[in-house]
Amino acid sequence: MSTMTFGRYSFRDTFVHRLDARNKIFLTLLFMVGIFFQFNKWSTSLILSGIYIVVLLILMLISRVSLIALLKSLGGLWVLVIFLMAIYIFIPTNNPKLPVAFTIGTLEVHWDAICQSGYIIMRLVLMISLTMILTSTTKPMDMTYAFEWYMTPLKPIHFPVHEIAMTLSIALRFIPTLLDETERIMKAQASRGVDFNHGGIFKRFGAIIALIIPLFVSALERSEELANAMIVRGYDPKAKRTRYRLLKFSWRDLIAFLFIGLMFAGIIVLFVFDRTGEPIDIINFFFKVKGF
Amino acid sequence: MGIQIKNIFYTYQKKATNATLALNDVSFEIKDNDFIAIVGETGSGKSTLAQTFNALIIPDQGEVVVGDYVVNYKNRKSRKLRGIRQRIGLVFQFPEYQLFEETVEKDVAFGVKNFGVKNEEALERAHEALNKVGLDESYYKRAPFDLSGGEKRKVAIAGILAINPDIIIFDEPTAGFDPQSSKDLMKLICEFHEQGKTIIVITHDMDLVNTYAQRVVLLEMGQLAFDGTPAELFSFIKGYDRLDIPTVIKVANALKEKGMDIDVNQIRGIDDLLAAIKKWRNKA
Amino acid sequence: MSKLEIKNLSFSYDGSNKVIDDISFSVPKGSFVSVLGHNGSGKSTLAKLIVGLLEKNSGTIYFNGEEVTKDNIQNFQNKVSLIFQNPDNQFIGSTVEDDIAFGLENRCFPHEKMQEEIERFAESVGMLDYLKKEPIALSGGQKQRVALAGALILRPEILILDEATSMLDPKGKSTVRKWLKRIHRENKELTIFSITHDIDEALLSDKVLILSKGKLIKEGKPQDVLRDEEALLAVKLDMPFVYKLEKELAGIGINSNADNVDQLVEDIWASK
Repeated sequence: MSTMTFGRYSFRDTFVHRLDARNKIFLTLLFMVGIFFQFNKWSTSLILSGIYIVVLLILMLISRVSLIALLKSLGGLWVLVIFLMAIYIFIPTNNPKLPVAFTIGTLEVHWDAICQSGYIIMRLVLMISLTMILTSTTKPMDMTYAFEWYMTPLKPIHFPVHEIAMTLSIALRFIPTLLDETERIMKAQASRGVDFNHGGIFKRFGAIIALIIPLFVSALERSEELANAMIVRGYDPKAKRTRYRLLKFSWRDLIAFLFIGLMFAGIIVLFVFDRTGEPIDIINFFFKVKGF
Repeated sequence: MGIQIKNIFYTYQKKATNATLALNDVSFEIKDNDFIAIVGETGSGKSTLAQTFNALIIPDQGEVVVGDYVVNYKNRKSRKLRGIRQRIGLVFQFPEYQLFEETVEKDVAFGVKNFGVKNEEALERAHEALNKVGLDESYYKRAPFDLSGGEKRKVAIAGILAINPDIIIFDEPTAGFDPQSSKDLMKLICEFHEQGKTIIVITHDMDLVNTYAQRVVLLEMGQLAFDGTPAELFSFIKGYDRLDIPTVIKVANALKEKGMDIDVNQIRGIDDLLAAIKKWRNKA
Repeated sequence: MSKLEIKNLSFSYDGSNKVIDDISFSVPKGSFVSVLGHNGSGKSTLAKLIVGLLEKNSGTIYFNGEEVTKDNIQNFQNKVSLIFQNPDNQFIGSTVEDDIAFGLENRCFPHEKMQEEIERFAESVGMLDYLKKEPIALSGGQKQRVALAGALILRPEILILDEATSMLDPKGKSTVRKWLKRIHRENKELTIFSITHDIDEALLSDKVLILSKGKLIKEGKPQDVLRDEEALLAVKLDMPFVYKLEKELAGIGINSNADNVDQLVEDIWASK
């Protein structure tokens, strides 16, 4: 049996789970774009980030996605974190506004660089968390339906939208089956003395071959049988079909749409002010709008 | 060579909420040159148990002792443990799915070479093993994927046999086979037994248990529920609907219930039943 | 009238070795017919030929007395369903309900009525409580029952089973058989054509065909065909135990024509 990992769909009956997948994907993207707007004024970025984090936590609370599980799965990101830190620290800062934090040899590392890398990492973490909320509250199958819906405009130019969506959904359906199979073949080959955990590159390569080829052969066999089963049940990729699962835009979606939409609009307005006028301070923002 | 199983426990997905106790304090001993069947429903833990024998699964508690090898949690990372697979061969269910080399002889020699035997000798041992399973010289250079299902399975079995283990475990060896092919394969397994190997068969097929096993253990929800001869098992599970009883035993049981003087424990096949009926008629 | 009639059907994959060799038989309407044969006897090929997954080399198929031709094959294929051997490889949907719905979707069945239909057919195989389950959470027997529901929901007139129980454990086998029997009892019109090497399953059918090396070597009632030791031996099959015992008993003067254990025991006891 394959182990559950964070980000895999788990069934719960919550507001977020019930949202239309198309809407959820759109709003996730919107949120992510919002997160990546860069402001000139530090305090604006800081306060907005705080708002994002709060919204994210509320989303997690509503969708009952566990924070602990999220943090645990983010643990694997430390390599990326160190990498980003290193890049920012060793690339000299232009027009530093903040004092020097420390020096390595002749290289002066400003607080700017440290803050900048921290900011980037925080946004990355926010993005990943959002993706995880999306994937753990949306059935993979609904994702493929949503994907198909978004791709519909490409149908007139003969882009195989339906075929790709069907292939995707079957791939998703067979992932657990193939994982089981992988484990079985690994154990069978281990019984024949293959060591998957030790040995040099050459030996490991041999071990992988002993796993991949049987896996491939069986996957091919499966795909042929599956194709037959689909034909027998009347499947024709070119023919018109009806749908058992329909994606529905409900009042919930409207609420979610309005909420995230307003948030995004607010970010845009702030951004425009930030870039066109004087660098603005969010604290004085409402005051300034009044005087406008 | 025998196996001592001492109070072993094993849990799948230990940290998950749906953690399942697959083995719950199982202890018994398999003696040298035994022909033992492990039976139980799907999910009773029989495959898990068999996989602890060659250290594919390490018990959380307790230990499995095979000759010099001790499989327990403390030794779980020991590289030496891999050597146990040279002494115990495990033939998985539908083993034909593990074939991958371009010729039959190479595939059979694969396991032997993994244990450090030189190419020449490995091929020699592969040929020997292939002959033992009834595949002659004409098969050596053929591609395993061109063979029939039954032949593929024989090649896979030869792949384990060539390693020359003292103990061979078969997981549902006859699954998907027609009766004649099943019989042929079981005959082959009996030959291995006669040559001194210890045989462990995991199966659902009670006819197979009745005909071939000397001893049988029953697992139920990860616990050892029964250990004895097949005949004793069938009287133990009388009235269970979860496990099949061979038809010959069913007939004998029904006759006994009617009042016939018949020792069901002595019935293993149709001849025993016939003899008992004859005896009863002569008396009457 | 026969539901399905096959005349002089032949097929080979490579043009020379005939996998199906001049086979003719008929299947009466509403009957349960078993086809017996050893591994590699051409049984599965026969099933694929009937449903049109393979194209025959020669021969004719009649459905409801009418020859199946290029013009009406679509109609015929809509009336035939096939269940395969491997429970995993015919599970197309991501959950039980999606899988049962798959055929309906292909037939453009109206969305509004799907739910009701799916529940009805899930219930007919005892899987109503599992609608939201994913295949990984089901046993082999349960998956095959879902496959049955997915096939029956298309209202076939002929249901072909290609070793549908051979990969299952005894419990799975017996539950699938139980539901199959019930379905057959409740749908008198449904013709079932089961390809198997399970002799005990064949014993329960109305008619048995024995296939060896692509040829039909014997057909008739199971009580007759399954007593023919020679024909069974030719296809490497065993006589059912009850018949085997009867044959031996005849040697010591006990005569019985029983088809099941209970009757046989009665007969033995009565010979006292």
